[in-house]
Amino acid sequence: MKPVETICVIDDDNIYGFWVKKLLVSKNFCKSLTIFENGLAGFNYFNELVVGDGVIPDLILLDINMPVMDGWEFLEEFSKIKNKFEKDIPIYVVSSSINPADIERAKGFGEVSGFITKPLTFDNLKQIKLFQD
Amino acid sequence: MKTIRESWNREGYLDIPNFWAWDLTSNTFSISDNVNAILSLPSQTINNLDTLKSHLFSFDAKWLDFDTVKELTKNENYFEQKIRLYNAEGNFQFFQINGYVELRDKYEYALLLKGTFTHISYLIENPSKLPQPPVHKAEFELIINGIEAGIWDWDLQFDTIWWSSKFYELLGYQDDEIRTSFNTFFNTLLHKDDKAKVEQLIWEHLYEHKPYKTEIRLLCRSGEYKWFQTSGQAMWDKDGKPIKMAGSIIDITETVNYRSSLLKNEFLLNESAKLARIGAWEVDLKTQKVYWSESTKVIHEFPDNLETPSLTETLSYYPKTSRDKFIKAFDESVSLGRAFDISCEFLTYLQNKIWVRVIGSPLFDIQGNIIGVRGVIKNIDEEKQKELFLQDSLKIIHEQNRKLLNFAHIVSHNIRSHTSNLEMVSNFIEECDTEYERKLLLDNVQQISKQLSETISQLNEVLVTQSQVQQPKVRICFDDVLTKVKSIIQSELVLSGALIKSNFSSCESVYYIPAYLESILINLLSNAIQFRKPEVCPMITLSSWIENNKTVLQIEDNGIGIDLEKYKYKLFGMHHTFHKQTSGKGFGLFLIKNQLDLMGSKIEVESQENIGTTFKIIF
Repeated sequence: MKPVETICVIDDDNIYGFWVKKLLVSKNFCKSLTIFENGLAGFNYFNELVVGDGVIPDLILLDINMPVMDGWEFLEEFSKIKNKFEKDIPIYVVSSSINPADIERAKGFGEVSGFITKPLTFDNLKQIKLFQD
Repeated sequence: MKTIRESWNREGYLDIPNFWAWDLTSNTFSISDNVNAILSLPSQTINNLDTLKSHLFSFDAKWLDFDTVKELTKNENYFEQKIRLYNAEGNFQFFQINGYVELRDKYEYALLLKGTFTHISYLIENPSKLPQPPVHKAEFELIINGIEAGIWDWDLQFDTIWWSSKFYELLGYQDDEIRTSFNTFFNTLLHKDDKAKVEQLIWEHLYEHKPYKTEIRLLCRSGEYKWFQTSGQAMWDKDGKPIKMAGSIIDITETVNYRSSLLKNEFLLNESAKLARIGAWEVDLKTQKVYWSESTKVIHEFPDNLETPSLTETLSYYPKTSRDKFIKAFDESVSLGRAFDISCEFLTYLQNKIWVRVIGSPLFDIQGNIIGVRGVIKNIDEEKQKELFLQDSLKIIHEQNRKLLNFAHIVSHNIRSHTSNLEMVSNFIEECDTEYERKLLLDNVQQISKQLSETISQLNEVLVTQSQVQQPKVRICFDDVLTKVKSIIQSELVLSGALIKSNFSSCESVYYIPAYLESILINLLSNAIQFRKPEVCPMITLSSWIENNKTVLQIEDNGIGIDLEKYKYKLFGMHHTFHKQTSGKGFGLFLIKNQLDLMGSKIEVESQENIGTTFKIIF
């Protein structure tokens, strides 16, 4: 498995943030990792990418429950600008929710490639297509 | 008979087997005991005038009547009469009474009568020694045999009777199977409960000329009684003495059975209508008259002594909410000939509101015109109330279910968010490379467990809240509860310098669970303080009033406001926070929404960013 260049994590939980970074970097899933603490911060980053220079992440790991702008709102906003990027950015929803309604709702977004229930581990990271070869 | 003309010895006469004496002065009567032997009665059963009369057929009673006898013997010394006495089996025995006047007073009235009695049933029962039964003309014979009626012809002078073949046939007998006599008719065939009636009616016909027509039961050969209608006409001689009576019997068993089954059905119908609370009604369109059955009146709680109301008056029993529905159904029935079946609210005479089901269908005359509407009305209040109660219960159950499921998701989600973190962190226990990481890991575990226990205590608070719904509601003054809440959040108030204004003059109190009202106020006031604008003194205004019969409490602040377009649906959810810069836990509004829901109250919110937020609680 080849590590990807950049992974973008959008999650307000800083404990999760710290350890997911350790997991992804130390296990060689990616070379660099960017964390945004809510949907809006994440969206602003992508919105700026449209016009300016910057690294387009290879993967987005998105939480649902966040203040200011939650995961759903991010998905709605992101869908409006995603075509402006030269490559597809797969999004995986990573949530502690096991509510079937949330899983269904996530599947309803064309941008979402999968739903991963927390905790994020080495094993369930293997669900992500990029890490399967 | 002239053979007993000698004078009898007063002491010895009773030894003579067929003697009687009647002292009219003392009204004492003596008769030979032999009369009892002839009637197969125990000795001395008949031994005076009263006991004799009690065995006498009523038609012959006058011959033992004091006044009749006195009048009869005024000008005659001798008299002769036929009487009928009942024997032990209840059959007539014919006696010829012969008597003479032994003593008269100065006015020539009899004082003492003496005489004999002779048993003459043998003569009566052998018609050959008496005149032949009536001979009818051939035409009559045809008619008599042709009609479905039995004919009887009774010669009163000789007490002989003639019955047509049909008479026997109707009763199932062969012509010679029963003795043809009035005695057979009266004492064998006639039902014992009809005897008194027949006796009285024949008497009234013979002597008072009243019409004779009645219904009787006669014993058939099968041993069963059948119902007959009998009528007859007597013939009188020139002195007005009845000499003959003839008539018919018609089998009406079917009619009577039909009638009794009709009665039975009517009874059953009435009783079941009462039980089922169903009443019948009918409207005559021509006369505009309304007919109500007994049960219909009961359903309307309509007084017995009042006249059934008119068609327009009946409409007043349908309150506004259902009157149009009823009128529409009724009009369609009249104009389109359509049947209807409606359930609606109904106001009884005593102004009790009940639910009724009214079914009606048009009535047509022979030409096919609609001349009325007829139907039933049923009190379905109990069923309807149950149905409504069930609907309510179902709604509550659905709502409870929804809440439970929601709560289960909240529980799982909120606990899982911490446990998943814990799991993730613990995965790194073996892999911490540096002291720094190891310390961080332990700090994190501590932090997570703190959050976890906080979440659990919050969820527990929700459960406590839910159990508080059982607490009694009391009248609470808004002023009192505000004072109490202010003292609870005093430190927040002092630190923030918040100003609280209140005006509860329009509505000073509410009937509520105190713990809920306190919790609602604490949370809303804390939120107002917490989400205040920096640099601006927080102002909170509370007011209350009545709106649509409901108490409304409003809490208005001048805080940072909420973007309702974005957060409307999340505002009252758990662990949703909307402001980055504050320490909101996303729990207060969730909790009070829960409490308000449990009480069936509503909360509305209006807000503008940077201007303020207004919460309105509709109790």
